[in-house]
Amino acid sequence: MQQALNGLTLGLLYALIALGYTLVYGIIELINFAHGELMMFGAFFAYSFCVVLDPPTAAGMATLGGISAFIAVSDRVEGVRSRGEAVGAGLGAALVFASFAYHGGLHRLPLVASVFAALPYAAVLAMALERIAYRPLRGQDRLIPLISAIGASLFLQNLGQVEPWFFGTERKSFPETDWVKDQVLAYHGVSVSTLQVVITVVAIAMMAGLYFFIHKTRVGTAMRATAQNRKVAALMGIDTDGVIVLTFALGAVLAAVGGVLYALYLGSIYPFIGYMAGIKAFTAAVLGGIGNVPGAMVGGVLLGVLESVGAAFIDPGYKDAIAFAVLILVLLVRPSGIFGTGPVEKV
Amino acid sequence: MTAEGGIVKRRKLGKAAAWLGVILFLAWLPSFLPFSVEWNIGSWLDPIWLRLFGHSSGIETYRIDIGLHHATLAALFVIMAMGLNLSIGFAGLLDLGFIAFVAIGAYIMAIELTRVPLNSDSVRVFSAWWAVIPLCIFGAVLVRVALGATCLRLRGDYLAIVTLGFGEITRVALKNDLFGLTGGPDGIFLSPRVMPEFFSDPEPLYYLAAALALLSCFTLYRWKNSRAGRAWEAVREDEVAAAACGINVFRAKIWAYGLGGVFAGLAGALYALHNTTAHPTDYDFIESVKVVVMVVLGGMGSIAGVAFGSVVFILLLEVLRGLAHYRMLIFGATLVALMVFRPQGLAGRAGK
Amino acid sequence: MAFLEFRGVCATYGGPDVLHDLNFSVERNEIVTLIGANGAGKTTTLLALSGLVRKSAGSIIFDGEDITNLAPHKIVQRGIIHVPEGRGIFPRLTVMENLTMGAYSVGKVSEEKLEAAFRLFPILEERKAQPGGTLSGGEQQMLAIARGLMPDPKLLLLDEPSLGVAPMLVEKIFEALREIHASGTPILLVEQNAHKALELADRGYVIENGRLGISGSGQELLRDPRIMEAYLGI
Repeated sequence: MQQALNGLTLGLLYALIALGYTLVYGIIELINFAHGELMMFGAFFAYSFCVVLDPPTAAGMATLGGISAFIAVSDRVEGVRSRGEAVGAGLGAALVFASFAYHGGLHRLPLVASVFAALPYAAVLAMALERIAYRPLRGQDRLIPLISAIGASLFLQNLGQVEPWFFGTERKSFPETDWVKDQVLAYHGVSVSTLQVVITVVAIAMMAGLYFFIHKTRVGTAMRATAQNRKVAALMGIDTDGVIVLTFALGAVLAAVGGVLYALYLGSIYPFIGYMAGIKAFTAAVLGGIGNVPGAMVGGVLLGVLESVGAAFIDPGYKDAIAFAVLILVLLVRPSGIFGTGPVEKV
Repeated sequence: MTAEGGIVKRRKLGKAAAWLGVILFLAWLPSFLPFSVEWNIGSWLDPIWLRLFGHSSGIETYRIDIGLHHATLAALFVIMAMGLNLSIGFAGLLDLGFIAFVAIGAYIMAIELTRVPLNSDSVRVFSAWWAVIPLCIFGAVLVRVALGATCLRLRGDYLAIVTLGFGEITRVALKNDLFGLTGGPDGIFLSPRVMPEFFSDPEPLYYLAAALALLSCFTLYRWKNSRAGRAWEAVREDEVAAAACGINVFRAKIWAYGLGGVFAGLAGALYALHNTTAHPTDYDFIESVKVVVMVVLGGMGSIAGVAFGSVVFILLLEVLRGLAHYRMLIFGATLVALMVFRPQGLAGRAGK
Repeated sequence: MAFLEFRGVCATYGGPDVLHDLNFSVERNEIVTLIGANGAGKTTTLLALSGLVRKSAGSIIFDGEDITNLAPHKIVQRGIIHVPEGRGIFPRLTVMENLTMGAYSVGKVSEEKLEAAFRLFPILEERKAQPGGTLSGGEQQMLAIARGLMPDPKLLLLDEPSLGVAPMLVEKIFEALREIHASGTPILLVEQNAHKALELADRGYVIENGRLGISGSGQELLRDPRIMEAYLGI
């Protein structure tokens, strides 16, 4: 029972991260391998606002934020204005992002404020990644962007380890977060911690928000339209590049929040944090039927519960293998996932 | 008619000469290795570093040692790359867990070699090391066909993630001392006592690996131009059209995928001998990525390209070893750059 | 100056040019049709106009402005609305959502436009909440045209509106086009059904192997022996 409950919270985290995979896959049919690393850097941006960093590390994060902001903003502005204006706007944004990150890195912000401050950074990093590593590859054989994604993932993962500019390989933890382990409820031997409540509330709120955004707003509908037929969407006057970039940014924001919660859940944060979480979240997305938003949520929760319960019943050493075993079994029965609607129709 | 015949003859001669050249080069290589280069990077790096950061870079000289074992390693990776080239390049089946099948071969070899000396009452299936190799191949192919039979009906991306998942399952299982045979997180160490005497010198292993690498290339070359090769190509380009031409798509895929296991098992067996150990961390996801990169780097489906790409790639990783974790950073960035600027690979032809 | 003008436009899918030196124009309040065989370059011409195919030479002038190298969504914002070949309905969006997307470039759907569209195609009002993919071919074509009308187009591009549509509905669709034109919207129509297209059109151009050939008024072309033989099957 306790295991199932733990699994539920873990599953909600997987789901939150899985949404980023599913959104991106739904729109450009790309497995964004670097999504786990976006999550990692999102969480690290929150971490850098939350603690007092060494000046070089603050400078490193500021540089990363600045460069990403430059690429993201200038690319977006170039769609509307001249190249000169785009470069100008990009430089302005880079300056703002970099200086804020630098000062934020050297000062302490409360945890919640840090997470909010980190969101724009996660978004621009994802946008920059799309611009550099994926957009030039559209229309190529699908293996090509996938390998580019693996490359980007390796790059970011190892960038996070570079010292002194980034964080090295040592595990770090968010300061003054002992409260997360506090019990808020205990009933017949089943206990619920503050963190579990926080994860549940935040994850469900974000998923509900995403669902509302996609189904009830004009831009969300444009996103779905772009996913179904990009060419015709362009003929409707939808800026499809913009929609794709937005999808990346949205996924990264969800992942950044998920990443912070995941780091709190593990009690530590380190550059490899995105790897396993990313792969499992992706597995969750496939499990639910990739490209399908509710599917990712169900897949995530299912995976989390099975993993926790399974590890308790079988052998904790096999915990990391359970997810994939479940995946293979599910795909045997339903080749396109639980909620999959058969192969996605090609444009 | 005669002119055409002449061209064909000349082309055949050229190809034979190329093969001969490669063979001679590989035979001559051990007398040339080891070789090392040293660069005094510190002397030109320090002034910049000093101005930028106020202290010296700490790097004095950059040394590259290339030994015979690198050549062996490269040959082994050529074998692996050929196996993967068969699935990815020929049949278009993206496999992100290829190294798991190499691991199967390596572990079978290691288990078989350690059995007799360590545990005298257990029965060793084969007495000679070379007789174990078919068993390694059989094991890898068997598992690969089993996995393929269940998963090859999945679409490309699903297959990628399932094979990735299988790779992870394998690694976790090996780390958890599967069946009490795989030695857990420490793996299986092949002490000099159990290592076949044949390999007490590094040269025999090198020659064996190089010969098998050449044989792998040649085999793939033959397969590419065979009936099966054309069937695979058809399946890769358009499954529906291939099926309409009377090709049994699923069977073609199973063959391409399963035969990849031959190369994996073979390379695995030699890899264990080369490392004198079978260790779970040698079969990480990143190793699968490396093999995929070799195939893509050389140009999917091209044989000379992939062989060349593997060698270049292995040597490059070795050259960059001194850079610690910057190495993987550069590796990642290069991968992205390569895909953006030269997606067809170094040797591939331009265009789609 | 003409409302829409192609000046020596060449276009490419990345390889050799597929359109060569196209020169033609559409005036305000005109229906102009491009007819030609399969693969002659009719659809490519429309895609080049909408910015989905790259132009390698020449320029496209719309309403006095050079729109040659604008991004597709910018061209839509200028009022050139393209109803694509094969209808291009978003299959998993409802009919209503499809119409909303049609009005994406102008913001919200105007009630007035919606009513006008439903008057033109009453069936769509009945199917408002159904996913687009569940409509029949003809209904989808109606939806595609209605969707194209949502942003109040300054120029409507129609690609093969009769393709894959039951003959009875073809009549209905051409009737609707006549009405749309009567309400003051110029139309550039691409059709394989040359007879129907020329009957409707003020002027027509024949396109062959990516080049423009014979041109003239609809009636002239209908009587032209070369056209009769090649495209009308008489």
